[in-house]
Amino acid sequence: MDLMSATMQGTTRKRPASTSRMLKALAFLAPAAVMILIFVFYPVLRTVQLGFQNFNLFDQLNVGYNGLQNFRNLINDPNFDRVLKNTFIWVFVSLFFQFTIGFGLALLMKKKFKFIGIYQGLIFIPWALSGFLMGLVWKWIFDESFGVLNDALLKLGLIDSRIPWLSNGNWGMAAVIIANVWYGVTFFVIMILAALQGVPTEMLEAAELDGANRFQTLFQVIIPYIRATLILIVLLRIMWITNFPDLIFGMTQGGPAGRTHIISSWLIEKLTLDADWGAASALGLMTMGILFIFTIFYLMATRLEKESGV
Amino acid sequence: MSKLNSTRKAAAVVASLALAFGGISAATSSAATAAADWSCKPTKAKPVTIRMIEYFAGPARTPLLNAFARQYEQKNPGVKIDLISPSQADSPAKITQLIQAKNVDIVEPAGAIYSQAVVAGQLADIAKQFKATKAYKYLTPYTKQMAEQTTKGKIYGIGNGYYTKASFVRADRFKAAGLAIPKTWNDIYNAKSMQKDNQYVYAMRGAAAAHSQALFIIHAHLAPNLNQTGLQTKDGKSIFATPEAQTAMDLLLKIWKEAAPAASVAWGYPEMVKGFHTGVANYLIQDNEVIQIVEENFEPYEKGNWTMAQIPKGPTGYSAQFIGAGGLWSITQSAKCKNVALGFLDYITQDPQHSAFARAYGVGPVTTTAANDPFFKTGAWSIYAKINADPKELKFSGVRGPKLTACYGAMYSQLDKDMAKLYTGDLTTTQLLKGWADGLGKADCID
Repeated sequence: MDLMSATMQGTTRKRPASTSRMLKALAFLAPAAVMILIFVFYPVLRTVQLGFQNFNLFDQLNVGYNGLQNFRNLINDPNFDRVLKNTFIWVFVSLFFQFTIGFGLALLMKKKFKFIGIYQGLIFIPWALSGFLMGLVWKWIFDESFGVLNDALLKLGLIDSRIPWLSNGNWGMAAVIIANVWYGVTFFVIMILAALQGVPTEMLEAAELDGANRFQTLFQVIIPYIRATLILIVLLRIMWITNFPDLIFGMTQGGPAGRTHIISSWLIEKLTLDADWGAASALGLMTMGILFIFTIFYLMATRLEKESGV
Repeated sequence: MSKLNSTRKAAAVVASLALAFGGISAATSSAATAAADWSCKPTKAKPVTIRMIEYFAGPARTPLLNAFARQYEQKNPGVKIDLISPSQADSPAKITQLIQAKNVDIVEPAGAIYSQAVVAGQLADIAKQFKATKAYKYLTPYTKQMAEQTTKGKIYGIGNGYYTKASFVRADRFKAAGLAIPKTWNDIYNAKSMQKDNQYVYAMRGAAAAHSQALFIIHAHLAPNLNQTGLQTKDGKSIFATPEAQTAMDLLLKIWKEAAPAASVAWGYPEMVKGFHTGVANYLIQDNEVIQIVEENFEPYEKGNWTMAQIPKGPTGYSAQFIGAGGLWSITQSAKCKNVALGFLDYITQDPQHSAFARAYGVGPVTTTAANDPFFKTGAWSIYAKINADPKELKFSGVRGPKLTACYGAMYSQLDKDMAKLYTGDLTTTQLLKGWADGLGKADCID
């Protein structure tokens, strides 16, 4: 028996064991794969198909492919520009305040003080609640006639007349962003706190020995050290906020007259109120396109984080 | 060549036989399925589950319907009734989705859903079977008439209550301001002098079904020049293309801006009702089921601080409204056990079930026994006798042909969005009316 045939025989002998391992692996993977196929891939494929169809539940006698018509209709819709502008404002204004407040709170929570457990518990509450439910709660807080906010401001003498929080487009955007800042701060606190706890104490002690003050330590030691994590969570949050219509739908349903719609809340309106699944799917595909750009940045940031070893 | 011809002939014979048998088989199978749909025999061993979805879910009616379902299940072993109760905002889409998915047996197709589902052949014609039920015998003549009027002898729905619009008025506040209770739309506008901080005259509706407000005031300005569709004048033109509609909408916008809360741009049904019973608005146009809500959340009618009035009239002294079985139950074409579904509807449409339902939920009764109940003739309910007796308050059946139905269904959500745009200044009344007249008055929409 030469070496070749021995090797061949060895391989042949090993094959049943490896096939069996493969089958086992497939059997374990199958349930998850089937679930993903049904609940992720099928809906995505169906969305792509619907995006190119006239499919309105209230117009079921005229269902069929209509090419790019859904996309044209959306782009020519007078609300389209406003929705894009609102989405930009919603994402970046919310993000700025969520990040700044979240960073500040994370720095505070890094220090040990009395009742820190209760404080941490309170900070993390919003993260455990449903966005839509919180939207309804904030809706009543901001309600012009029945809301607690106007009552409180009037009683404190800070305003003379009730602010039309949810019935005016500008006030409406301000109201939903305030609610979103409240809701999203927790995410940054959790993530930044974890990153801060990873900063080696030796580095901080060295900075102190070198005579760095608090600001210098923060901006020249801590932030550079956790920079990759910060970039990563900011990008992640951009994608989440873009895709977070829950609060808006709970508070204003995009109103008045579409003034507070962002791209994802507009999608929900197309889907539920208009029952226009074709337009909603086309809008979904456009959203996917926008988020794909951020996904590329996110993947690049993930590489950066791995390289920096944080 | 001849071999080829004979092969072709043979193939043609086989194909035609296949088609013939296929056709016969399909027809037989279809007839058999139809018969099977009406002859289910549920047993404990082979139970039948009936899925039913309501449109107007709420605390006053959903527990009652569930209680009826449990009673019926006890009396009919092998039958299970699953009641689905979405929020009213989600009802249209949810019901339409379930009908589309052929995953529901009984639906409450209110709003634009009923006509669209009839046109699309998604609801079963139950005329023959329903007329043989006990419930049918005790329906009021009007209910029987309404059941068939729209569909020429076919019956696609069983009424479960009447919704009639009336005005809910804070009598105490009008009295304190030295004002009479408004009888016209102009009176409502002129009552703005009574407004105080967070106390407005009119409970406007700017969110879902906001366009109903436009219909009220346009009807009041056009009546009696209206046909039964409620969307056209007697000569078949769109009501939105008339000068009266322009006057009416200009007045409505003034009322909205000057005599209604700004927040009402986001008010749907629950908010406007709450607006009235919390005292933010002094005048509300709503259906009869709101009587119970106001009594529970504000105070009993007998105390006299709130009263009921007819809806406001226009310059001609007329007003108009749709009075049909706003709520009705239909059996879907896809229901596999239609006889079982009808059995449950027969049960809940009979008294004492229906009477209990109408009293608890506060809808006008559909049975003769319940209609004679003094409860529906006294107190706040007494207004409906006045409405029925008033020849200058027109009642429409809302009968529309398939073309107008399709156009109205397609524009339904746009009409509400346009109302909000009117308030925010994105549309003028003239632009709004032109859009509505173009959308609903075009040749494709005239039956």
